[in-house]
Amino acid sequence: MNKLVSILCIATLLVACTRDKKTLVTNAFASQFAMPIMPIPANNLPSKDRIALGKYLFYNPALSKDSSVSCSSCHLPEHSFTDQRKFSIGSDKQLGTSNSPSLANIGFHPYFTRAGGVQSLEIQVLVPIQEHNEFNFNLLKIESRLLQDSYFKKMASQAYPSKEPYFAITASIAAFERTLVSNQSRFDQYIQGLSSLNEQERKGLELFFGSRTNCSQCHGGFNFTNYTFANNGATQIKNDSGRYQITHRKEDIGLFKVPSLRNIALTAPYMHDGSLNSLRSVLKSYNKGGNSTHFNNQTQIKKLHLNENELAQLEAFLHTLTDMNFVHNPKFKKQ
Amino acid sequence: MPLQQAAAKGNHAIPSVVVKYVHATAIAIRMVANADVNAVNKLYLVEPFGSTFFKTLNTIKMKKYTLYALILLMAFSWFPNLKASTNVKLKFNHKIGSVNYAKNLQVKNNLDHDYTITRLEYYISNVIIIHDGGSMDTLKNTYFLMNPSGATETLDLGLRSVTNIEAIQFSIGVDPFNNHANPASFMAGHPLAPKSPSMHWGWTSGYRFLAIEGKSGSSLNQTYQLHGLWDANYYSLRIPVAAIDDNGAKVIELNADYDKVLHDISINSGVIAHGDNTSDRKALQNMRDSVFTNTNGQGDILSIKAIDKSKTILTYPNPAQLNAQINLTVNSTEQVYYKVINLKGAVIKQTLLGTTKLFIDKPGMYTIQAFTAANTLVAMKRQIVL
Ligand code: HEC
Ligand code: HEC
Repeated sequence: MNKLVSILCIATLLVACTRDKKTLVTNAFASQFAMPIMPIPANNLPSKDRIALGKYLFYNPALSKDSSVSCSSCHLPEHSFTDQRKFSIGSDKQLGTSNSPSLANIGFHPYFTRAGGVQSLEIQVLVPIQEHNEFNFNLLKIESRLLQDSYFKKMASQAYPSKEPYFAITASIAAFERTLVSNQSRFDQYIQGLSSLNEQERKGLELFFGSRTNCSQCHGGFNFTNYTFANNGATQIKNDSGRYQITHRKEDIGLFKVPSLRNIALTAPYMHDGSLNSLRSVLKSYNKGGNSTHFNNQTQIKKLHLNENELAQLEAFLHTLTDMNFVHNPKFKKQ
Repeated sequence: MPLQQAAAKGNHAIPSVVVKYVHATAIAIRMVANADVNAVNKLYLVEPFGSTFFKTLNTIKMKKYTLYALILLMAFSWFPNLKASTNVKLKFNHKIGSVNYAKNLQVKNNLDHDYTITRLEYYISNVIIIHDGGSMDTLKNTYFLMNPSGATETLDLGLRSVTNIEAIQFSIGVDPFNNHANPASFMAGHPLAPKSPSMHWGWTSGYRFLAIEGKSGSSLNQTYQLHGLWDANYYSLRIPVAAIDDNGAKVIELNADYDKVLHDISINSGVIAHGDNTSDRKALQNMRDSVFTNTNGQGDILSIKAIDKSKTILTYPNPAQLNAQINLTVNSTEQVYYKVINLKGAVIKQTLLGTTKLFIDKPGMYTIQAFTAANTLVAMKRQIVL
C-alpha cells in the first residue's frame, strides 16, 4: 500500500516535472511533509522564560560532575546538534558507547534514544545526567549547584513558579529542545514551490522515494523517519544491542530507531556506532544490501544495483535536506 | 470542637453562607457532628467549586429546597470519610538471618559467600489491606521508599475503614504507570521524587525497584551491586496477618530477612548487575518469595507469582498507525484476553478471550496486558500508536 502510494506520488511528480519545471510537485506528494502537531505536556507549555532558561542550561557545564561538559558538548548547533565524533566524550573524559544523534525536530519524536526506552523529552534529560560516560551526576546535586547561581534561581522561579528547581531543570531543557525545528531546507522550499532542484538532485529524489531503493519506507514523512525500529545491516550487531536492551526479545536484537535524515550531510559519522564516516559509505552499504548479515536484517535491505552515477544522485538529494537557517539560527546558539 | 471553629482553623476563608446552610439542614448537621474533626475540615475545605460558587449561590438566591438537596448530596458524597476508621500501621522487623539488621555487618549467604550490605533501598507500593471477609482496601498512590537503618520500622497506612485484618498485600517496586513518570514532577520529599543516590534509572526511564550494594569475598575486597527493575518484574505478594491492637491502632507485623535477598546469588567475586539480567532479577524474585514473612514464618500465599518471563506478547506492527490492525500473539497454551492501558493507567480497551487483533483510535503509548480466563496477568507489552 505504502509502496503504491509512493509510486503514485513519484508518477504524478514526474508528470508535474515534465509539464512545468516551476510547478514542481503535486499537493499529494507535498502533503506528506506537512509539519505535524508537536505533542507538548500540559505542565510544560512553552514560554519565553522557560525557553531562555532551557537554553542557558543546555550550554551549562555545571550539569556534569566535573563541570567539563554540557549538552552542547555532544549536541553542537552547527552540526545539527551532533558532535562529529564516533563516540562522544563525557565527564571525567569517559568515552561513550554510541554516536550522538541530531536534535533537529526532536520535539516531534514519539519516544527517545535508539533503543526507545524513554517516553518524553523531560525524562530524557535524566539520561545524560546519570550515564557514567555523560554527566555521571545526579539531578539533586545539579540542583544544589545551580541554586548558587543567581540567574538560575531567578529564572527558575519566574519560569516555573511553585515548582521544585529540579523540575525547572528538566522541563526547561525540554522546552528549549522543542524549539529546535528544522523545516527550511532546500527540499522544503522545493515542495513549497519556492525553489527548484537541479537535475541530479531531482533524480536522487526519485530514487529515494521510488521502489528501487525503499529508502522512504523507513525514512518517510516530515522528519524522514517513521520512528520504527529496524536493522539496516550497516554495521556489526552485538548480541545484546538496540531495542533488545529494552524488550529482551530475540527479534529485537540489533534493531535501532530509524533516524531522521534532516541535515544528514552535517551529522557524520553515521549509524548508532558511528562506524560509517561519509554519506557515500552509507549509500554503498545500502547498495550492497548491508555491510553485515544478521538474522534480524530487514527484508527491505537488499542489493540495490545502483551505479556510481545514481549513488551520486542520491547523495545530492540527501544534501538538499540541509537547513542552513536552522544551523545558523542565533536563537539556538549560545549567547 | 464547634463546627465554625473547626472550619475557621483551615487556611481558607469559609464563606459564611456554607456554615449557615449546613446548620439549617438537620441531617447534614447530624452526620457532620458525628464525624471526626478531620472529616469536618474536609467537608468545608475541599470546596469542590471554589468559594465563588457559594457567593454566586448566595446572590442568585436559589430556591431553598434546591439548596438543601445540594447540601445533602455533598454530605453523601463524603459519606465514606465519615465512617468510623482505624489507624493501621505496618511494622517491619528488619533482620539479617537471625540477627537485627544493620549496615556493614559481615555475614554469609546460603552459598557460604561472605558479604556486607552498604546500601539497601527498595520501593513498596500497591499496598492492599485484606480485611473483613476478603474485602480489599487499596492504598492508592501510596509509595514507600524503604531504606532500613535499624531493627524495626513502622509505616503509617493511615485511617482505614477496616475491622478485622486478614492479610497484607504489596508490591516491590513501582507500578508500570508511575514507573515511567517523570521523577522531577514529584514534589521534594515524595518517594518517587529525584533521590541521591538516584533510584531512577535514566535510559530505561524507570525506577530501581531494589538497590542492594556492598562488599563481598572472604576478605571483603569485592564489590557487588544489584539493581533490580523493569515492569515485568513488578510482583505482588500477599501475607496472612493478624493485626495487634495498640492504643487504638491496628499494627500489622512482618519480618524482613534481607539475607534472603542474596540467596542463591554468587557474589564471592563481586557482581554488578543493573537492570533485568540474571542476578538482579533473582534478587527481586527473592524479595517476593522469601524475604517477607509474618511473625509465624509464613510468607507469600499469592498463587499468582511473577509475570512469567517466558511468556511474552508479540504485537505487530509496533509502532502502529492510528486505527490500523494490531496483531497480537502470546506464547502461552492458555487462551488470553487483552487490556489496553493508557499512560494515565486507565483501561481504554478490553478484548474478548481468544482475540488476536485490536485497533487503537488514539495516538499514544500504551501497555497491552494479556490475561488468562482466570484473570491472571501473564504478559505485558508496550505499544506505540502514531
Ligand atoms: C557525552 C555526550 C552527550 C551529552 C553530554 C549529552 N548527550 Fe544527548 N545523546 C548522546 C548520545 C550518544 C545519545 C544517543 C543515546 C542512545 O540513543 O542510546 C544522545 C541522545 C539524546 C537524545 C535522544 C535523541 C533521539 O533521537 O532519541 C536527546 C533528546 C538528547 N540526547 C538530549 C540531550 C540533552 C538535553 C543533554 C543535556 C542535558 C544531552 N543530550 C547531553 C550524547 C550526549
Ligand atoms: C528497513 C528500514 C530502512 C530502510 C529501508 C533504509 N534505512 Fe536508512 N536507516 C535505518 C536505520 C534503522 C538506521 C540507523 C541504524 C543505526 O543506528 O545503526 C538508518 C540510518 C541511515 C543513515 C544514517 C543516519 C545517521 O544519522 O546515522 C542514513 C544516511 C540512511 N539511513 C539513509 C538511507 C537511505 C539513503 C536509504 C535507501 C537507500 C535507507 N536509509 C533505507 C533504516 C532504514
